[in-house]
Amino acid sequence: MKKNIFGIAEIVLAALLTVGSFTVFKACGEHDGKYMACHWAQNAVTLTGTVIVLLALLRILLSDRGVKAGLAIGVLLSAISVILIPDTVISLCMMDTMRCHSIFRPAVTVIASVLAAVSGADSIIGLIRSGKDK
Amino acid sequence: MKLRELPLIDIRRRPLRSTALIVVAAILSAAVFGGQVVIRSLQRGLDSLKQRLGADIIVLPEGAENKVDLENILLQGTPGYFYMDKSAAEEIASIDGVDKLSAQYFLVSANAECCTVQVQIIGFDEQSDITVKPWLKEAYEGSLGKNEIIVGAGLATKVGHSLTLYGVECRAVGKLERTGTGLDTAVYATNETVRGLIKASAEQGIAVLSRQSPEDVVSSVYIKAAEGTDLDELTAAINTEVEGVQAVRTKSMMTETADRLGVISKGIAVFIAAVWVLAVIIMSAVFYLTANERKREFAVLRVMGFSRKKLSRLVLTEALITAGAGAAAGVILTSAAVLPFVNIIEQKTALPLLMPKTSAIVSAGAAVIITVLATGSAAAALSAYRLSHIDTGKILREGC
Repeated sequence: MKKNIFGIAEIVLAALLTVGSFTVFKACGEHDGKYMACHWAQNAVTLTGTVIVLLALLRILLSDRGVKAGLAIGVLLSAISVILIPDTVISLCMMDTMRCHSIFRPAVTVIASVLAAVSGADSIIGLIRSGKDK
Repeated sequence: MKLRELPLIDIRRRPLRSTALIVVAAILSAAVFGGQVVIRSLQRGLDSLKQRLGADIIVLPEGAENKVDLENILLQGTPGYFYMDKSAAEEIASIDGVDKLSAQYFLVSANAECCTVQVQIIGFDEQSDITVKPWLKEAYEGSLGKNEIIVGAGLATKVGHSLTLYGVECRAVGKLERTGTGLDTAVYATNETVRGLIKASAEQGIAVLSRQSPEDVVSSVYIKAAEGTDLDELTAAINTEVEGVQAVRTKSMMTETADRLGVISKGIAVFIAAVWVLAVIIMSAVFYLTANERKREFAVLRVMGFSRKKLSRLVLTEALITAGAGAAAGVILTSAAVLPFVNIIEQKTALPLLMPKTSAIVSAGAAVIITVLATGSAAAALSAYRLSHIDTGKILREGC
């Protein structure tokens, strides 16, 4: 349990990001049968979040310290890319007052930033430990 | 073991106590920091609204609903429109005491570009304007041409980019500073552009919300009074001399907002005070109870040659480390929970909210951490005194 604490934190945060992105803090909804720009940002966050969940799961299941560190780096880079998805890589709607600006983007930024911090610490500790093993 | 590491070792040795102290300090700093940021943002938003309106008196068409509509436009950014005959503006201009006067025309777009969302379009006269241009963040050369617009800070449209309104490509040539008001999501254009938009909407068969031209009507008139003019008298004069209009002092329009702000600020202040008192009581109690448990430990340290001053310093250092860790955690967590969500807080409270500058937020955070450190030290001071003045011989002989 203790040696997988980072992996557990990563999987919980990634699951929160993935599920939250289409439920609690989803972007703007459909209007007159049309999806707005932010819908595609939401889909991208959900997809990347799912990939992070799988990476974090592998990070827990596999035992090799070097592989664990590599997976943690993968989680870190994916988390950083998630931060950049809303409004930088994929445009959001036009007004600050819209749901995608006021709820979706801040929630994604906060959760992905915490995930990046956790996986960053995990990567550094993992690299140091795997270096000592050699 | 280095003596310098003793406080850290003690903290690690009592994880439950240390965690409890860190959590109490974190709650205290989160309450003080969060409260401070919200109060300052509300105050800044109200000041910004006062300055943003830039007029002493606002004249609207008669009817209470029009005043409510204007408040909704200003505070919540809910698009709205109302009209009065343009001759009213001319009549107002002839009244003594009116120094500058600027009329605006409100139009609501059916939708804009990608997003099915209404945009408040405000037509204004560049020559007489007193409320829009002073807020230009990114200035443009010359004057506004046809299909050129100035956008509020709350719109994603950048200077040089276009915004499609009723199928007309309108080029953004200027952007206004953020004000924390509903006007941040408005689009400003000349009356000529507004006329073009109305025509375009008719050609496209889009049900435009207004079919009255800015040639015949205006929505509001902003007045700057001449120096030395009694504003109440001028307001009364407009109300009696011009038919079908209501003049309101800008100050009175904001009274209700200021009152709500006052209530919220007082509520937050009471909450902060309550948390503070509780935190001091809890921290003092924890340090006091711990002091009883640690008498033997301190007696041994005293026998080993620790001076009273060193023992006091040991207790205070432990208090500073736990309070500092908690305070930093509280500030960081509050920053993550409050700062990114300022837009939704603004919408839910329906109050103008303008975040303080980053430097002000950082200094507020630093001040909170120092305050929590001082609180932690004060709470530990009594225990530090007791533990440094124990009767070593009695404790080692009798065990208490």
